Amino acid sequence: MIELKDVNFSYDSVKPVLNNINLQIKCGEFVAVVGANGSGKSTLAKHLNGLLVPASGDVVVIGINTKDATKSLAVKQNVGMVFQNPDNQLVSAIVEEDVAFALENLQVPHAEMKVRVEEILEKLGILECRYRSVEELSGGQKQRVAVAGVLAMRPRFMVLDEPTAMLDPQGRNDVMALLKKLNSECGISILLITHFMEEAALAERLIVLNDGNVILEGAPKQVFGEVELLHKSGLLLPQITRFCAELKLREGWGIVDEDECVVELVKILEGS
Amino acid sequence: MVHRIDPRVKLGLTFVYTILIFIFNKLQALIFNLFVVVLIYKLAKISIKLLWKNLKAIMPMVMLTGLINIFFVGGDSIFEFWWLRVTKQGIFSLLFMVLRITCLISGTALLTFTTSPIALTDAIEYFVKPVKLFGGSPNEIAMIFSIALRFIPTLITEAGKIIEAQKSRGAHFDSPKLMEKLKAYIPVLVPLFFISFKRAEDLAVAMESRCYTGGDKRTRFRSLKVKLIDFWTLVFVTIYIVILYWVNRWRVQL
Repeated sequence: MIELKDVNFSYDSVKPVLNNINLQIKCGEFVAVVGANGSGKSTLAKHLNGLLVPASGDVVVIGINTKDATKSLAVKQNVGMVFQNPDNQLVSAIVEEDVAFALENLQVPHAEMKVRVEEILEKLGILECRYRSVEELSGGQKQRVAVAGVLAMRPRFMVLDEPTAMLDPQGRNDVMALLKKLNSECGISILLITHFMEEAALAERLIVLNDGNVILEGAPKQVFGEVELLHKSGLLLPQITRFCAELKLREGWGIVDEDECVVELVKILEGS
Repeated sequence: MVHRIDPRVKLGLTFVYTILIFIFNKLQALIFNLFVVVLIYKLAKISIKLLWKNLKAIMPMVMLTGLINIFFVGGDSIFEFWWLRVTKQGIFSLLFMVLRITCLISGTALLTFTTSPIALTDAIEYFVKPVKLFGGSPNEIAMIFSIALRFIPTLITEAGKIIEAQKSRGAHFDSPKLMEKLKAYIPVLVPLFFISFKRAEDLAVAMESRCYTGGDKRTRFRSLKVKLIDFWTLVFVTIYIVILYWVNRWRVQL
């Protein structure tokens, strides 16, 4: 479990970026964090694996406080991070070597490394491009390699900071399907930071950040019901949710996808 | 076959070769050497045309220095004109120099033609091991090289995009004047540098997130193993150096 207790943070000790954040991310959860630009999403992400430590308050990852510098590797190994730009996070020019990068750092013996790299590439369906240069891959494939490189550490949590922002719709769908699969089949907790509400709707729990404060937290359906509040914090709801909200048929109507919308509308029409 | 030789052996031999080219001082030794190098090109299935392209690029410079040699080397004069004096020794020295540089380039180019940049990085890491004595880290040096290689294509793409962007803002890159041409590239280089720094920062954060702490305490995914072919390469090269030494001692009357 990752636990944030009264976390405060500021880059310049003048303007606070995170304000008294209290959060818990349990094992096996799929959580999405949404918020406008500058709401502190990325700063929050960097706190989860100890890249940043809170100015006051604590971040505790499976019992280890991130302020404990002697255990920083254990924290980083358990909380894998994937970033926005796939080009800026691939270290080696060859796919399989990039996947092995974290293993080299963790001093995994050569024989085991070979096995683990192959296993992960197979699981993510990119075994056939193992010897290829990362330059030749599409954006979606590059991001897949980045995920593989993080998975190689066998983390319990994965934090993804807008992993689909630079991808085309095809790549975006691929990455989202992959995250769903990792969460349900491998039991890895996922914390997805995104500004695509359609992606956030896929999570079990949604956290909304505004100016460094958690303003809403709950199931997507529940959160999407708070149209006014979301609008004020500069977030655009999924099209289908806005459509239903505009109809103003019922207060707090958090419709997240088309199927649900149809079912609800049919119910209303039958009732009237 | 040449491709499969251990990069460390190839890099080491290239170094030795460079020294040898400057030690052997007879025309026949260089001609013999060039002949052997061409044979190795055939063996490695690399077209001589590729080598020729490389040579052509620097030939003008070599010829220029050679010409200066012709006029200023003293000896038996063949022909005199005003204060210019062409000597037998001068022509000889021109020929010698062209040959020596041809040998040098064709030999060292073999290394880059037959070795992947990544393998070369491994070899460099092996040879910079002594920096440990001065508190340096060979692994870090190799990491710098490999990251540089990794980002070359990325930055080339980036530069292309910036050029397009500046062109659409009315910049000209096709001025016939050299100075203006160079000046036109300043608005390309500045953003390119800026973006590179941003990339470097992102990469550093990503590397840290993947447990990179620097230093030499890492295991290796790629490992270099000395094979039989490496042993035979060393044997053949040793024999070759002895032969070359013998050729170099011939007395040839010109």
